[in-house]
Amino acid sequence: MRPKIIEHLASVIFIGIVFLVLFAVWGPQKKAPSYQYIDDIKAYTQLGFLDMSDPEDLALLHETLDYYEPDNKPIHDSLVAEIKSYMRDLMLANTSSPYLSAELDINKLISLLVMLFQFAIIYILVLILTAYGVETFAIYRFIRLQQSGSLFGSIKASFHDLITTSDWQNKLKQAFFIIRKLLRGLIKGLSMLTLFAPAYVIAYSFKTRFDTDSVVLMILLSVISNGLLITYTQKYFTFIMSESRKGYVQTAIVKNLNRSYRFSTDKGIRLSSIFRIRKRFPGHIFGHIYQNVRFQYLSTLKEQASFLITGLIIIEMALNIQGHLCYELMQNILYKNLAIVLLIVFGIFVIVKLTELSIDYLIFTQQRKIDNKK
Amino acid sequence: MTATTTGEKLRHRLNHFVTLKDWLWLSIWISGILFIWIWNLIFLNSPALHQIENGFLNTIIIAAMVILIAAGLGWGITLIDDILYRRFPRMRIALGFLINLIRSVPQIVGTLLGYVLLTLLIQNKILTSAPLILFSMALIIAVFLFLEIFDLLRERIAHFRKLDFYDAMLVCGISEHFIINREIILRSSPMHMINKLIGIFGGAIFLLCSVDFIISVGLSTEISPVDLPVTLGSLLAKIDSKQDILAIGHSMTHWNYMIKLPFEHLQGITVASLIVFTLLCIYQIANGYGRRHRL
Repeated sequence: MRPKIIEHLASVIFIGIVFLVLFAVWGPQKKAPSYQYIDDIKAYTQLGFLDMSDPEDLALLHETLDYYEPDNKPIHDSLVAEIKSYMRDLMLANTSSPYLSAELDINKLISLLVMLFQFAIIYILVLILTAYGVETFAIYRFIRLQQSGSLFGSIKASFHDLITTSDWQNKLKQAFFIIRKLLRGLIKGLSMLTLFAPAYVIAYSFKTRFDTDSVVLMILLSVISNGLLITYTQKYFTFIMSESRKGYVQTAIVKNLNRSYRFSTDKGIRLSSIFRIRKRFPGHIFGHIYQNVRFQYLSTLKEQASFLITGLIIIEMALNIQGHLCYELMQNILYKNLAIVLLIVFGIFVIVKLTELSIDYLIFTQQRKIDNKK
Repeated sequence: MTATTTGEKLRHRLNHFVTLKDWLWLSIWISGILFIWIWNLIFLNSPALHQIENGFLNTIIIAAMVILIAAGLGWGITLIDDILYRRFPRMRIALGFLINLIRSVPQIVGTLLGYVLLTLLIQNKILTSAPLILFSMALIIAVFLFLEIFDLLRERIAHFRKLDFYDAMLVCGISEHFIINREIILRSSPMHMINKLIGIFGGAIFLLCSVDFIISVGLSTEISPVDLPVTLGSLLAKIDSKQDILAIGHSMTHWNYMIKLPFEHLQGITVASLIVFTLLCIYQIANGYGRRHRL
């Protein structure tokens, strides 16, 4: 475990030094803006029929200038670039956000740390929820598959019965069965589309504005959207499937361990045990499969955590949730406040590294258990 | 008799095709896109349709470039890693350290910072041609996605090194480069690579749309839509597209409004459905391919 700790620590120190160097080289260069074409800029920005913050209006101005003065194209390029900078600086001057000025003082640092802490809490909560969701849905899917086969297979079999049987009562029964299964398939398809939709597509379907009180919505979106839950449920399911085909499972069956996957029977699996946080399947063959799959899943958890943090950042940025860490990151990228950008990115990097370290520790302890070292 | 045989053959082929989930989902994807395009051709105004076509094509082109660059980067870094493993084991630790650093930077943050750099290059007229800008966008995304290929190839090489065939080939005088490049990567891992690359294609579309959406929503004064090629993400961020998507939520509580969605809110609905439908289909294709080849 020690090499892992050293590696993670070294990368945090390395990134810290790189960011310090970046800040030392480019950070303090910020000075009051000076414009070469300030008179022209003021004249054009005062035109009532053009909005210089609108890229299309700016492009229109650019083209018009080029059209009337084709020999001065390089000057027009510089002028338009300066108008862009001027409008941005004007917006910065008008903003009242305390985080958008270039200087980093102690109050701002504390505010950013509070935001980072809030981000970390949401992240941990979502990670726990998704890990639970992935495990539960994959196990449920596996057990349902053992009970009734695939949805497509059952529809195909019923369709075959519907065509071949001559009994009208049976035909009707099969037709109802097919309709029921097709409806189930439709609901499943719609759920799949929702699960694969990027968070901002779902969010903007319901709301146009997101405030600081949108934390619950954010957590919910992080769990259900961006394809996170479905992708890792599938991975977990694949682990279960490949584990269930291994030799020791056959040996356990020979040794008479319970292998029925029915919910209602004594030798089967209780539905409630699938939904428990600490899942246990005593005396059942699935208990052994589950123990082995859990260990395999731990290494995937690192990848899942990384994908989750990307999803969370996308949600905070895309929904423009003010007062949240990634919204501030985006705003400070916009206003080129290098110190704050580097600080926020470093904070997120530390969260990722802490997650990786915790998962490595979990893998280490599980491995020791498997090796009977303690 | 012939008709029955032809019918049976057709049914047999159809049954077989349904079991090939990757091909099935590929045809579902292409048919779905064609259906959406024809629907838009009939009901959407021409300028909006032209923008959607551009956005979709740019998205697909960038994602396709991402898979090519990711494959090249993954392969190249794997070879460097292997050379270091055999000749300079201490330097391999340094390479591993750098790769783990990239791994620990959230993809979206890395891509966003890469886009800021790209914008600076565009504003300073260093990058001017559209294909070069598209390539740069793909390169930025590929830097954060190629690790999957690198991990896969490293795993494959480690796996084959444990087998007798590796030593047997060495004894026969075949060089290690030849064994790794030809026998392990080209001959024994193309299916694994293709499966990963399909996944990367989906990942690239997701990342590209998300970054473009974020930039268009939050950084639009810094990186203007005039500078960067239009993609599905930037189209979705337009205010009229957002209003179209909002209509979906409205129709959940007003069922009779649902019928108006594919006619009155076509632009936003089309862009959103192209993104979601493509992501779903690509996931299913990758899954089906993996299952068919038992990967």
